[in-house]
Amino acid sequence: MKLKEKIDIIFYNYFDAEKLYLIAFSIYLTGEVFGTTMFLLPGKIFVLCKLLAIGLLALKMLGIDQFKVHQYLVICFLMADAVLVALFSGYTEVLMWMIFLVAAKEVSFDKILKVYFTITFSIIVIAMLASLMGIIVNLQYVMYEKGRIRNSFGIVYPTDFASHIFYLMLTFLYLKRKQLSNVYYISCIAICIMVYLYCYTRLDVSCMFFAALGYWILDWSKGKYTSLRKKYLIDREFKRFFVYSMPIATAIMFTLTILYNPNNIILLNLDRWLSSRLDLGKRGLFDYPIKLFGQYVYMNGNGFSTKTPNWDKYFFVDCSYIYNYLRYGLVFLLVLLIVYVACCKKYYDDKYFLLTVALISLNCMIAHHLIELAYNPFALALFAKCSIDTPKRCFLSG
Amino acid sequence: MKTIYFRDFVIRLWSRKKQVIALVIVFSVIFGYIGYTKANKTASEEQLKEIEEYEAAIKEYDNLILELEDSIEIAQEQVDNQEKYCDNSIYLKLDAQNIQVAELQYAIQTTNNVGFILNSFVAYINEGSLRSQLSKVYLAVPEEYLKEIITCSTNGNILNITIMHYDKEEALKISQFLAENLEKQQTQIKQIQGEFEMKKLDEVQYSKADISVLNTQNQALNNLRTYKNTLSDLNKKLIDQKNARKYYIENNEPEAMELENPIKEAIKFMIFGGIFAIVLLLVVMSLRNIISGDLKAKEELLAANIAVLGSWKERVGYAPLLEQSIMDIRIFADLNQCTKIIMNCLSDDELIRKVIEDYKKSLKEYNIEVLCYFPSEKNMELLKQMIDVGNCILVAEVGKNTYTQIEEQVQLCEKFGVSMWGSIVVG
Repeated sequence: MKLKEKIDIIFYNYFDAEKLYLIAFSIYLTGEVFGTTMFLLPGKIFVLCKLLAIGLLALKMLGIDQFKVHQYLVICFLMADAVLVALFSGYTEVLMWMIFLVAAKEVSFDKILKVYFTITFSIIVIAMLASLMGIIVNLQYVMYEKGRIRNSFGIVYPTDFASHIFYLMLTFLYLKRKQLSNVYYISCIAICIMVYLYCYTRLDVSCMFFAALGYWILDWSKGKYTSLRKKYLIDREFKRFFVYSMPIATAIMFTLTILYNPNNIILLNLDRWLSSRLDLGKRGLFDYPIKLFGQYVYMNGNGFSTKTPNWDKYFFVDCSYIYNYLRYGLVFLLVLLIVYVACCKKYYDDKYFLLTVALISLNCMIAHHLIELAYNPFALALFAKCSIDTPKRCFLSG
Repeated sequence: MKTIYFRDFVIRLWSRKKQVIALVIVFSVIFGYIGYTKANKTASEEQLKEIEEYEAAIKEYDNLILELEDSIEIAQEQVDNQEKYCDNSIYLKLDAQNIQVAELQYAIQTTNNVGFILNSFVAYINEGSLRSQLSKVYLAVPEEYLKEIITCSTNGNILNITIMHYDKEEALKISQFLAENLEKQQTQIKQIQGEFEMKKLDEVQYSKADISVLNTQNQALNNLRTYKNTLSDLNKKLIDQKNARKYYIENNEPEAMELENPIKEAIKFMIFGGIFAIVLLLVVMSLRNIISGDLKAKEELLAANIAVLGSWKERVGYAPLLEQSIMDIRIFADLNQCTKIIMNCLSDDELIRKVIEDYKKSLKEYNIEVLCYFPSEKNMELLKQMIDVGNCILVAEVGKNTYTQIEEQVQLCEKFGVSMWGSIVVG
């Protein structure tokens, strides 16, 4: 027997591609989510998680996955961009994100979401419990002018905690999309209220509220006004708009940021409402040159500590689009937008997916977690297998 | 749509409670040890020194703050008193250019010591009960401020009393009251000092300008201003010290600062460890459930376009009912004009055999023969038999058979042209 045949037999008999990916994803995600908590584990653990994950994924991609020529070329391009970003900017986040993206071939997207939900939810619960028991720090930020305390419940910052809740909520709603009922929506609203009361994260809570509302509207409108919808092609327009929701959101944020002027009362008020995101974004855009493959951008935020910040030195760009553009370059930003548009086109008939991407696009205007798998796993839909309840024998196509 | 039932995990945990309890104990002990060590850690010499210096600095800040607070209290009292004086004093209300004066002049005639008699009168006016009597009668004249406006002097055997006021009528009233009471007081003084005669020589009223009054008034107001400035400075210093203390704590608090009760910490960590163990078990079970390739429910076969002709679950039984399932199979048999059916079983256990027996018995009544193939029995002859019969029903067990096994059978049937009518799901 030839060596190639022997290797094929070993991989076929002893390795399951989907299991390899999901185990790698579990390990990586565990490290990443713990990294957003105040457990402050040694850095070696995170490095180990990444290396293990990369090892398993390499085994899958090199040993089991099969690619068509055009797929192979696309993957090469994506990986080349990720490597260049890592070389030019020093950041490896893009490389990890890209590896998980391309290695998700023939892995059930539903399973990816379930693994994400299980691990992230458990760690968040553990962190909350630990912070309330005093095992780890519950960072509390006092807003004297409003008489409020913002809790982070064991996470590095209140908005990061709210972001976790937002993405968990989105994942749950998407997974349960065919079985949603009023109980779920009421629970979502209750969660919004609790997060607002204890964390005072207005913008993230607004996104959560829109998520619950959007899913409710989709649910409620099923089978209603069919003739009206056909006449005015509402569904088609809805899908078209939502497919391009992320590029639209990017354009809006770039425009507002570039045009921001503190002398313009409208933009000034908008910037205040967005907690200086426009001002800080503009500083970033004008202080740093345009780079194709990114650059090192020092950002000094408020997380990990409640020490009164030196506001002169504070610089953190919360908008994902500008954040990714500054750090990872123009090419990667375009790649990102194409990836999400491609995902939406792949799931064109799944309104819930389109809505989810639109909500992510909205949230990423005010948060920087677009490519952090610890928060947002939805980009992995690009190469993953469609969900099991579409009329395909997905798990048989192996 | 796949569903994970949380209760299934709880039941699975309960069925292995000994192992679960053991794991919970192990984690509790580990976490308890971590908590105990963390709370009990002895700071190194350097850290102790750092803590000492830190605590000394904090103490100094606190002492300074206390001193400032005491000073503020005193300064506040000074301000209050001076303000009260400035607001209520008649002397400060005098118009220095137009002071209303009422004067009384008395002469004392006696063979006894004139000086003593005069001193008695002066003492009565300055230190005696005259002022309190006066303020009872004239409520607009507070007692503590009368000394400033009533002065008396002696010259030989002459007693001069001067009353100053901003109001002419009030000055007159006071002088009249004084005159009356001096008359009354004579009796008292005579008893002590001996007989004498006191004659009123003069009683005048006039207005005058006196620059020294203005100077005294300005002095009082300046004092008030000074006290207020002092108070303001002290308050500012207090705020600065508090901010400095807060800033110092934020930037200098040593890590080894809080050494808590080790036992309490250990218990807290142990409880957390126990909860962590259970959560970890649930996560591992969930992930196994998600990642494994085992068949989870009949819905997954339906989603893969494999008809489910019947299913059996513990506690639920046959769903749909066995009769319904038998009817479907009979229809297939009639359509294909078959009297034999192959039940292609993917696993071989009591449950599967029990279900197969039920189907065999029921189908026998309709003269349909059921041939069962179990994994342990499969060989080439049985495969040939299946091909000859031309049909099969897949029998799969939830949690035991995998998608790979199902796919293999589907592909096998497709390869040899065996018609797979559907499946029966057990478990």
